[in-house]
Amino acid sequence: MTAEQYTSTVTVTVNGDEETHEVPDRKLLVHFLREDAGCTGVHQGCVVGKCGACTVVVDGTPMKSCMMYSAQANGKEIMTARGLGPKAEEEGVALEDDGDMLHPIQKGFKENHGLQCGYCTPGFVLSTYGLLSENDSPSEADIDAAVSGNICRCTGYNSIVDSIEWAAEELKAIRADTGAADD
Amino acid sequence: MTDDARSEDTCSDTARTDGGAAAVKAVEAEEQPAREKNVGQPLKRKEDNRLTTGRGRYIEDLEPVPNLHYIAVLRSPLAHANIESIDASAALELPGVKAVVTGQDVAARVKPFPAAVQNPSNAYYPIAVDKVRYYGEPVAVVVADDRYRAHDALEHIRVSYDRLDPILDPEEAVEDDAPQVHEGGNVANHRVLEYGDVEAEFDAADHIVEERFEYPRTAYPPLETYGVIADYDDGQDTLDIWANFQGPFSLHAVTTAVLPLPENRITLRVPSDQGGGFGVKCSLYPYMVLLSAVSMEAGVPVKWVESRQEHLLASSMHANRVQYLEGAVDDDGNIRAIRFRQYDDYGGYVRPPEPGATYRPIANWQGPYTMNALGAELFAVRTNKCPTGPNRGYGCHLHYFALEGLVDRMAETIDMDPAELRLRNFIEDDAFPFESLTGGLYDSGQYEKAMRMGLEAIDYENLTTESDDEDTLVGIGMAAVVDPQASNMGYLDVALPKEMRKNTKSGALEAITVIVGPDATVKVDLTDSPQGQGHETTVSQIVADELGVPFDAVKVNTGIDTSADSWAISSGTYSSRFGTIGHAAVAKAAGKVRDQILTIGAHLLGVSVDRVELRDEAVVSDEGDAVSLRRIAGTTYWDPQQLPEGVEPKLAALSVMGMNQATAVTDDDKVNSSMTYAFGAHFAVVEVNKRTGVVNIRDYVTVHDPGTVVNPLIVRGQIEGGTFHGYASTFYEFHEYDETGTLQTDSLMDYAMPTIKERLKMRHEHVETPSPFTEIGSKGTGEAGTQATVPALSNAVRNALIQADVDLDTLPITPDRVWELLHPSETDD
Ligand code: FES
Ligand code: FES
Repeated sequence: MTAEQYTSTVTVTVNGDEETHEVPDRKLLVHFLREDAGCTGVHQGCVVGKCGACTVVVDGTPMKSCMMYSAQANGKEIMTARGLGPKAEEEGVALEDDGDMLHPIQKGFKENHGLQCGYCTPGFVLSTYGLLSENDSPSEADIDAAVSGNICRCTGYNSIVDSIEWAAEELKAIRADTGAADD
Repeated sequence: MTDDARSEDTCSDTARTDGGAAAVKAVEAEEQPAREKNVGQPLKRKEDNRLTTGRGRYIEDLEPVPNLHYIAVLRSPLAHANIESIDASAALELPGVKAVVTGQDVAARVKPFPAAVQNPSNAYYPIAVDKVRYYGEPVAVVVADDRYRAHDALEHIRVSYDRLDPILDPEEAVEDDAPQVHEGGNVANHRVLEYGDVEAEFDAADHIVEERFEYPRTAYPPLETYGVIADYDDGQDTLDIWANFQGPFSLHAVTTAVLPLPENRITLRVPSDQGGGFGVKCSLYPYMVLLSAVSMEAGVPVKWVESRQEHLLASSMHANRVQYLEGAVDDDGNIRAIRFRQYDDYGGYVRPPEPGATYRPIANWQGPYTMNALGAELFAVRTNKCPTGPNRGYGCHLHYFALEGLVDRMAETIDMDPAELRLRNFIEDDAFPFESLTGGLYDSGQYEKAMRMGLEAIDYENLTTESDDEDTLVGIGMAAVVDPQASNMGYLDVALPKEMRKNTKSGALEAITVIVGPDATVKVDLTDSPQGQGHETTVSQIVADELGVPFDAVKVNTGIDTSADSWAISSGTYSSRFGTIGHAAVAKAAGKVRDQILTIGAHLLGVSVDRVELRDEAVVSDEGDAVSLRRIAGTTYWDPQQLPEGVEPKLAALSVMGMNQATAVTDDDKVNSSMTYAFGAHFAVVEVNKRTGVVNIRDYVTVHDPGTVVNPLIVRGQIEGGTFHGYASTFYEFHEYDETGTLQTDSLMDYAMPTIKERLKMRHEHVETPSPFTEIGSKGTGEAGTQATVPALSNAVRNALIQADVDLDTLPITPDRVWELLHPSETDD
């Protein structure tokens, strides 16, 4: 038997939908999400855990999906950038923008030109989601710490910091206005 | 309000006989505040809803044909060796493995790539044929039904090598006894050029200032690596290639020239989104050819997505350079002339568009300064390193690192403030268009104004290098650069002396199509594959203004399909050309459509065309009558009998825009190598910690003049991103080879891409001097930041270090290097 012959049935919930696939045990979560679950918004830039392009939220925590086997995600709930808008709607914080329901984090990146090619962006917005879930008023140092595992080659990062600060403010303001889900 | 376009029946024939008069309604002009112009507004990008939600479409997302197989590439573990044998039999036994393709197989199917150099003993194929010339060079390709299985098989291929000594230093490589990378010598190209009487100027000068500069191997690797899909269809005898290529441009011709099919049987498609490019993705074409040959050989469509390690070790880097630069300057600060001798290291093969790094800046070698003469001796050298290609700033950042370093040294020699020396020698505002010594035609600029703006922003007058902390050295640095945009295809002809030039080239074209459909919606087809520059947004801004429609009403299609799009040989997004020629071509195509709309609208209104204007989606006469754009479009396509005689029933135009300034090289080696020339000046204040060697940047100011700004947000993003790259290669990123030619920086663990924690904070100022040469006056901005950052930062650090009697003439400025410079006795053996 070679390593590739061991397979498992993996079931994960991705953005609310259940995905069950029989995959080789050695298949990385990033490849499972892209190839089996059809989530092409999960990008890969290094596949060694250094760039953060593949970041997804696993049971509430941002994780690099190239650093996990898909079998390790069995039974877990995963959110990709695609799921962030619906999540915001569920929480009552979504912002309508040109026909799309965006999470304030996504809107923050748009408002502050926090992206150019957009390849790093799904990873950045999800790392930011992790940060803002724990800390609604992050300092610059908090922001640096939360997204220093994500590499952006295009922007030079200053506009990303602005984007995250904008999103934090906006989220706080919306929650204050609507009394929306504060934990 | 104008007539309600949406309620009109576009098929209606009510206007058949009266020239459209029945459709006309009065317009109350006072109620119609002219819609604000879109050009110049910081509009939020159209791309961003898609990209922030993960709905971009990148090469890796595509599976355009069934039965896709995956490839894995076996790469050379040696920098220089003869290949004695390759045994793939064990690999072929493995499950799922369809084929193993070697260099011999590929060479039997494709020709070697053409070369633009004098010494063409080059034979560059996309895979090693019988000799490996750099670490990481492809040696064999596995084709399997799954990417994991393809990788598994690599371990089962046995290659036997006969190891040869590598040559890695470009100055040593030109010596006669150096190991030979190719037969016929390591010098691929050598030229001596002279503009003006260099000797006389140097003889007459009060001072001659000399310095040797060394610029290491750098690259700006994008976050998304290369990807290629190739499908050879033997039934049709056609080849379809999908790739995240920055072309098509002239490298498409290079690609198709070596394949065994005529160009009309080869289609290249580039997806609408790309995860960064920075010039690096221009060098993807060898892999397009490799996968094409593999698809032919294996009989299946094949897909490859490059790993990060493969990208770092064997995709493309910028040529490293050793430059000896001399400046002739008088006591009063007048720069008389410069001359230089340089060795550009192109690695194992000088592949097109190289030796572009040597020649691309030719028109702006003198930078923003007036001088009387300029001389250059240029060597393009082959060594056992990864082949090179364009990287943001292509050739210019290296040149300005040296030129601006020399200007600082000239200022020291004559004891003049470096800002003062620069201001004294700048080309003056009324000298534009200015012809440089080497044939450049600088279109416009206000160099002094921009410089003074920066000096003021950084508070230059009150800055001091005095430090209140004895562990800290403070340095102040600046750099001023002329930044070229949109290459003239003909600049590379300078690489050959005039006797050897067979067919010269010229031109810088862009093809854009604007179409107004029967429902009056506007579609723009680009033959560009943006890598984050926001083409959809800036194009919408320009077209909305030209056609008087809302920004949101314009749909811009990016990406390339050479079988469907009208494209020109130099189309594409590279060489900072979209902001120049791209924008100009968009304006021109939209202008043609606007004329068609006005002609038809005037006819429907029954007035002459000089009595109408286009505004708010309607053609309006000077009497206030109006016919909606929707009506005009509907009539054009559904009821063409209504059109004026001789007018074609279409609201569409293709503009293949050229620029007359892109002429061929002259017999005396002059060429206007780019179409527009922007200006940038950067200013830095740094602190060097003597105990740790760490450099901290206290303040950083940029000033740029990119001509007319179409979208300030996007321009600023380009400046920030470019500045960030220059900063990264000044302090962090470089490719390090050990003495065996093994790359030491082949992962993101060793290749130090700065993260958010290392970001450079900066402030920006802008000057807008529209280009008289382009349709809307805009120039490009993609590389401007990079070119000015490297010299501004290195000059600032040097300004700090000379206080400790330490000089600096090479990059990157890492803490350990600075520490070693400051503590020579402690690092001596
Ligand atoms: S792809 Fe996972 S961290 Fe880079
Ligand atoms: S926007 Fe291109 S990598 Fe971040």
